[in-house]
Amino acid sequence: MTELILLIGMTILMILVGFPLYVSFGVGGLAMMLAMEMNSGFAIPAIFTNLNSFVLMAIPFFIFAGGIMTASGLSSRIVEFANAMVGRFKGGLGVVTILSSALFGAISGSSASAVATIGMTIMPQMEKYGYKREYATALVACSGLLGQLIPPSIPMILFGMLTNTSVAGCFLAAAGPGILIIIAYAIINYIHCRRHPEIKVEPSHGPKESVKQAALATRRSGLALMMPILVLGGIYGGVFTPTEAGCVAAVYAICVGLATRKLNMKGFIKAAEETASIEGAIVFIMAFIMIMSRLFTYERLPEAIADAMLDLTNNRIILLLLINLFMIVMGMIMDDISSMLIVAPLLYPLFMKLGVSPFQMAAILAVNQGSGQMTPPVATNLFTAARVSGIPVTAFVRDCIPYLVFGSLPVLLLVTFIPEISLWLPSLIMN
Amino acid sequence: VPGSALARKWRAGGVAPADTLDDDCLKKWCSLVAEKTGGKIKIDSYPAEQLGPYRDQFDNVVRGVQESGLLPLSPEFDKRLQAGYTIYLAQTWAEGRKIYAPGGWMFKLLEPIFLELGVKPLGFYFMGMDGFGTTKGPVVLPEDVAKLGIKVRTWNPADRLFFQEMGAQTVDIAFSELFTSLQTGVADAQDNAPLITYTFLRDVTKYYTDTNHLFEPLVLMVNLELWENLPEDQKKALQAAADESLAWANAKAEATADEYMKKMADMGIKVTRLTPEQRAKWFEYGKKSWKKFEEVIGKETMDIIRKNVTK
Amino acid sequence: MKEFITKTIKYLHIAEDAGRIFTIVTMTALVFIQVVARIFFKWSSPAMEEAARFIMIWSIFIGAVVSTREDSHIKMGGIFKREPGVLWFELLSKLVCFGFLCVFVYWSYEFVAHSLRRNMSSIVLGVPLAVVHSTFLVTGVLMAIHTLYHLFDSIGQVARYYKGARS
Ligand code: NA
Ligand code: NA
Repeated sequence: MTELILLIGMTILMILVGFPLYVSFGVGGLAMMLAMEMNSGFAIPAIFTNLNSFVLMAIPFFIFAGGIMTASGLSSRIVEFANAMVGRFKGGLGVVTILSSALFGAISGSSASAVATIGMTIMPQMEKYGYKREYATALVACSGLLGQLIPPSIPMILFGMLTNTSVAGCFLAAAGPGILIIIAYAIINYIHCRRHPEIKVEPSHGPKESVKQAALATRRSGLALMMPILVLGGIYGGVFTPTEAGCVAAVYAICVGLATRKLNMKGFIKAAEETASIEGAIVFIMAFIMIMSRLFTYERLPEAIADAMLDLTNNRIILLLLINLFMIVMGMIMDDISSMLIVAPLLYPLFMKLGVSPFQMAAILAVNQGSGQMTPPVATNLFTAARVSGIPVTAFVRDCIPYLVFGSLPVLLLVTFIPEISLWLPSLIMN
Repeated sequence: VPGSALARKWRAGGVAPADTLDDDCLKKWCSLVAEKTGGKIKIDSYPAEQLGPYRDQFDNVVRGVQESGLLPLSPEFDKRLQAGYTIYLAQTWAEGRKIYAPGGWMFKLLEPIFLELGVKPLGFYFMGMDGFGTTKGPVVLPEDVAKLGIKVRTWNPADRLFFQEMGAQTVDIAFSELFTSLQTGVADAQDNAPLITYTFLRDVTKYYTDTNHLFEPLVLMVNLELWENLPEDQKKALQAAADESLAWANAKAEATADEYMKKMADMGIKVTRLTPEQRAKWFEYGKKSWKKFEEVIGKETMDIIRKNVTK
Repeated sequence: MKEFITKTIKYLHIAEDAGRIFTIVTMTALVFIQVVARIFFKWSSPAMEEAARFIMIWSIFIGAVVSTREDSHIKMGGIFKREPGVLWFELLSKLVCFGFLCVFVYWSYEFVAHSLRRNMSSIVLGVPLAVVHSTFLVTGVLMAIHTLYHLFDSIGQVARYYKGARS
């Protein structure tokens, strides 16, 4: 057991000093097998059985759908739509960013792609209306969290795979806190805009003109907006499984791209190529994590962690706070995918012993690790936003703090201690 | 490699959740082994596929990575093992116990395949007989399945051909998505033993019919090389422990299945117990599906089954 | 010799890119046909699903090969920020990756050999499982080749750094 913990330490160290994740986990697993005097012959068959899964296919499908959406320019139509709806209110453009991220997040499946796409479309506009570039960048970066809370979400697919939990259920579990985040962020943005009178609001053209504009925007974005309805309606209306929904989303995006003549052969090929690369990068790591987590089980490590934590204290509240603290630290030093892959199998028994349902655990992990994308040193959303806006992370990190402290953190606590937040949507929609 | 296992604790992997009869059977075997070998062999048991999906575990026992297990037949490794999933191989518990007992014709059919693969089968435990759990119903006769337009989630070639034979639409869904799929209506039915249906799917099941179309055996197995290197007295001890724990569990299995069905009825699921005449109607479809199933397991094996089941 | 290597790498690139596109498109098409057939024609075939799964496994590993080729596997920022530390670390990292990939190739070889020896075939389609099992071996070799290429590149960079520092 001590050997095992030392080797996990070595693996994490390898990751931190900068070795690619796959080789860190691979070498870690190899070392563990040697330490445990185990026949390494089981490694590849285990990878094969674990990856030979229809559920896993949801990942490439949603990545593909998001890639095609971006290539066909559908994301700018979503922004246009959100703008027509709330653009004319105080702080409206900020809310447009939040809502667009939620809507695009619902189809792209990952937060980094939501940040990049929404950021590119909306930041110039925000600046035009008097938002400081630093603030706009921070808002885009933080709203990226919604990409993995509003279904579909790749971390949730991974969680479902790793813990044998229904992906369709995990999607809904994360959506509850997602809605809370939208509300909290909108309030924070409103307060910010009230303090900054230089932020202008699009002049109203009178009610008649506004309705006309909204109708036009809805019509123009209708095809794009149909996508989340098709995906979520299809899954929860009993038409198809989450994996099939991903496939339908991809085909739908292709059809829309062709119908609007925005998708060309080059864009299509690029999307397909990138899908394989992103999927390859993520799942290749997962393959080696699965071997490691199998070794953990052989040595009953997750059980031992659970028992050790329960020996520490019996207070459920303190334990849940400690777990969250641990995951926040993981979120700081790792990206969401990696920390999900490590944390889910290790802490699953502990959560179960604490009486947290798998769906609630999924939601807690989604909020915690999603927020970890905004906490340096490893902060994918911040880096992506910085690249899009062209200013360094240090310039806008301060503007992120209100969103983290008054947005993500309270929602994280709520989701941890009030099971209904994550469970009401699954029970509402699936019963 | 298995030689090094002699020095340390063995692992035994199971599939059913902890504290079920399946798990108790495995635990009993482990403790009997420790007792009968005077502590020379110690085995740790892991329920609920903790050591990986059962196919991996089977492969790992073959490779000696895992010493032993109480596992379903895994036809990936030899398609002849699929024979164990023949529809209506046995219609009653007594019949099933007889054909899988050492000396029974199924045991004789499967043993050489296991040995060829590299595992020593110590005996069979019966997880139960698959029934038909659905959200639409009640289903009494096979015709009801098509009449009610029920989409059936199937999990192997045999039950797929069986339900297709009666004109049902079959769908393929991973077990982890099954609960949600029954909830949303991607599938309307599934076929599993009362244990699985009650433990995992009771909240979405409205009707359950004891069609008993698949007799689900689990095989208690040990890596062959490891087995062959054991001294005679330890081999005897392992086998005796297996005989004792399997006999104990198999004697309780039928009553346990009934208990699960009673639990289902108690929570409001409409449980239909078929009469022999009604089950005979299902059996007809089963037999019809054998024709196509023959392509899966090969004519030779199918002929053996035909000869034994119809006699 | 150098020309031969450049040419081989070039053809590898073309094959890998074609593999990426082919797998993703076929997988999508197969599952989509399956969905449409089920909804509109009440027809469903486990064979399509099995084929899609096998193709996905290929797509994952071809994707991993391209990530190796483009040196874009997911990693953290690392602790070395300046030369020559960065260069030395890259060299070490590539060396470790290459070593590990060799182990991976060896494991995969054993796996495929085992699969062929046992004559394992898939449950639904009945195709030899070696068709999918060889994914690991083929892509493992490709990854090792690309990593070796990067390794030499890394060595070159370290050498150039010290040459530059001297002059
Ligand atoms: Na999403
Ligand atoms: Na972070």
